[in-house]
Parts: sequence; C-alpha cells; structure tokens
Amino acid sequence: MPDYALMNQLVFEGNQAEVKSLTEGALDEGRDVKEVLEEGLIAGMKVVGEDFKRNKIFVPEVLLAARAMKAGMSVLEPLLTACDGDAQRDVIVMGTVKGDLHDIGKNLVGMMAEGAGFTVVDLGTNTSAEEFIAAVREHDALILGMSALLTTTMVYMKTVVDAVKEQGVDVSVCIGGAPVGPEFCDEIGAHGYAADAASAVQLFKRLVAARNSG
Amino acid sequence: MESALLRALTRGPLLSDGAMGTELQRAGLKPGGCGEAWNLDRREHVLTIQRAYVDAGADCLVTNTFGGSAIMLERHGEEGRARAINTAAVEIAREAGGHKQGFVLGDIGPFGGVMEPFGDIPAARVVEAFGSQAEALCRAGVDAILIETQTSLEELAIGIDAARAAGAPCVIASLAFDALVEAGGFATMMGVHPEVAAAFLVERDVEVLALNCGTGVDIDSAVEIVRTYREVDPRPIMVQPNAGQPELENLQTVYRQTPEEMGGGVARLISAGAGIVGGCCGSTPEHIRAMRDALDALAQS
Repeated sequence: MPDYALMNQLVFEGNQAEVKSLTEGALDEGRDVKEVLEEGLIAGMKVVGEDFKRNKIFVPEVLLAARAMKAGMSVLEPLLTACDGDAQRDVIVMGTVKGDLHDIGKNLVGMMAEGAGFTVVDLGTNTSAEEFIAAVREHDALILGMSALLTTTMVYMKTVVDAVKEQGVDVSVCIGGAPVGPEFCDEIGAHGYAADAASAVQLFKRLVAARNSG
Repeated sequence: MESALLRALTRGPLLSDGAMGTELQRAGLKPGGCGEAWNLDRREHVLTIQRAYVDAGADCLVTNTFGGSAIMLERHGEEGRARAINTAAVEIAREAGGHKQGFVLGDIGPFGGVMEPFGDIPAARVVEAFGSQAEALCRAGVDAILIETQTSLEELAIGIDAARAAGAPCVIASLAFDALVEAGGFATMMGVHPEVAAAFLVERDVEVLALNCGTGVDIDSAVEIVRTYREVDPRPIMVQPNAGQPELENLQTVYRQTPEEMGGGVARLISAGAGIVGGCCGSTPEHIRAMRDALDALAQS
C-alpha cells in the first residue's frame, strides 16, 4: 500500500522530485492510476486549497505545491489519457478578459483545477468573447472561467456572458478577480463567482455535479 | 547627504497626488491600453492630470511610469521606448509642478509576474528591467524612487537595489496589503505581513516605509497598518489608500469614497504616524483637494 499521507504531505511541501518518485512507486505496486491521482495527489492539493482559503499559506506555497502536483501528474497523464475513453475528464476553458493582461490569479485557479482533476484549456490574457466561445466549442468545455484584475476590464465579462447566451452555448460561466464579486456575477448573469482559487475549484465541482444531475 | 524631500518631511507632513490610471481612462485610455506610452504620444493629457493635482494642492507628483519597466512595456510592444517613456514622465511631472516647490517621485510598479522559484520569470530579468527603469528615472532627475504595489520581498529588494545603484536621493518602498478575510489582519498576496515588511525595509535601510492600494483596505485599515509600521521603526511613512473599494453602478465602476470621507481620514493617518499621504485607485483631484484642506487645518490646530 503506498503511503498516500506522505504523498499528500510532499505535495503540500512542494517536493516535486519526491512526489514524482512516490507516484511512480505507487504505479509499480500495481495501484490503480485513478486511485493514485485521487488519494495521492488531489487529496494533497485539497489541503493546500483549504489552507490557502484560511490565509494559512499564500500564493508562493500554492504555486510550489501545484508544481509538485504537476510532477506527479506527468507520470499519470499518459495512463489517464489511455483509460479515459469511457470517462472523459471535465474541461474548463479559462482566460483573462480582453483588455486585461493580468494572469497570476487566473493561473493559480488553473493549476488548482488541474490539481482537482479537471482538464484546463488556458487561453492566456486579453481573451475576446469569440475566442472564449470557439474554445468552449472546440473542447466541449463544461465551464468557462473568466478573470479580470481591472475595474475597467471586468465589464467585458458581461459581453462574454451575453455572447454565450445569444449564441446558445451550453456552458457554465464562472468569474473571479479582485474587483468582481457575487453581486456583479448576478448583475451580468454569470453562473458563479469564487473569491479565491480553492473556492473556484469547489464552484467548478458544484456546477459540474449540477449539470450531470440535471 | 539628506534629500530635499526628507528635509521637507522634518518640517511637516506632505501631500502626494491621486490616481493616474483611472484618470487616464477618464481621458480616453482604452482598457488594457498602455498608459505609459501617453508620456510620449499624448503628453498633454498626462500633463493636464498632473497639473490638476498640483492645483489641488499636492506637494508630490508620482510619475506616470507604474507599468514603465521593460517587462511590463513588452506586453504592449513598447519595450523599445522604455527609456524615452520614463525620461518623458519625469519631464512632464516637473513641468506640471511649475515653479512651485514640489517633489517628483519616480514610480516603479510590479513587473507583473512571479519570479522563480515560485513562478517562471528569472530574477535576472527583473534586475535588468528595474535597473534600467530606475536609471532612466534618476538621470531625468527625480527626488525619490517610489517602488509601489509590491507584494513580494524578493521583487521589492530588486527594486530597492536598482534605485540605490541608480543613485536615487531617497527610496520609498510601498507594499499592497490585502485584508485577510478568514484569519483577520493583513498580508500581501505573497504572504508578507506588515510587521515583517517594516522590519525588512528597515534592514534594507529605505528612507520611507510605505503602503498603497490593496483589496479590502480602507482608511481604517490603512491607519492600522501605519501604526504597525510605526511600532517597528520611527522613520517616515507614506500611505496612499484607494478611494474606497470599487463598486459597480450600471456596469460602470465607481469608487464611492467621497473627497470629504477621504479628507476626513487624513487626521487619523497623520496621528498614526504617516508623513506623506496621497491617494491610489479612484482618487481624483477633488479627493486630493479635500486632503489638502484637512492637512492645512491640522497645521493650524
């Protein structure tokens, strides 16, 4: 039995080399790839997310942990892709909106979402409504995540929401970033707002579960 | 050798200016546009904004170079004009000041990413970018270098070193703290608490400890952080709060803190220990005028 508690701890500490080697070790033991992902890596990132939300750790620690997570994922990725024929991983398309070049927060959400088992298609910064919608269609995404740091660019989120509705795209639109909040989310008709990267992942999961049950 | 700015500070508190970015947008800068390029391309707009701050009673003008490092300018394809943009910014601020006795603070904002090992930008690139920006600003004759909206001590240290190497007469180091919703208190995005920041800045021997902007940080919070700084060290403190938190009204961003409210906070900031007060996002010449009135009233009382 692999020491998943140790793996979780090493993810938390951001120890890329050890996480990678323990992941390989778990597979060598013949453990199921999804078990290793869930119990070894995702469970570790979950603690990272919770501590981040509680202001016990900050952006540097999360970035290091996300890298360790990625090191483990690099081992699992080929196997996951191979066995994913029946169970596609849920896709999130995300980007910083048009006119806005800030991406630290958006990248953090992306890494945490990957850490939670989503496939993330990152469109980078300065993303137009057309680019968002094209990517959602191309990748069959369930979630469209938008970020903005500037009060002047956050209003573009409404342009995207309107375009999504006009074109009848079936996707859950989530927003985040320093200037936006739940009221703004309601005002523009987006489906969800999250205040931080950990809450964002919880929001994605909730929305996906609601879609699957609805 | 003591700087003129520090000498003036021994005589009493100084007033800095208000926001540049939000004012440039009011003048027609598109969201995501390069406001620093206006130092060369639409010089008269920058000059008009800074003149309005001088008329409102500001003693210090912050140059329009927040995003003027080569790394930030590269995002707009403007890195080739970095030196010219920074030089022009100082000239505009000097011109806006006219013959009034005032101070020009050369602004260095964050480079906009995360350095190794946490992020992917090598420290050497930041050293290079801040180094040449500080050099351009100092050559053009600033009274101080203001390194602001900083969240990591590593990046801040590079800014301080760059300012020193460029021969800055005075170094002001300013961090952006957020209110911690769960834990209470304040820390930057990168996890730096005010008392840690203050101790670090004292160790680096900057002349002025400062704070600006920050999520959920209003005047009351700013007062609290100024007090924390003061407990650590007696040197001058600069504080530039936002005009409240941005709110949305019919999909237009508004900062609801009125000039009167911001003026009303001045006495508390000064009594907490602030030596230079000014405004960050959303503050306008009217806010600065109200702060001027409050400072003048304090001086007479």
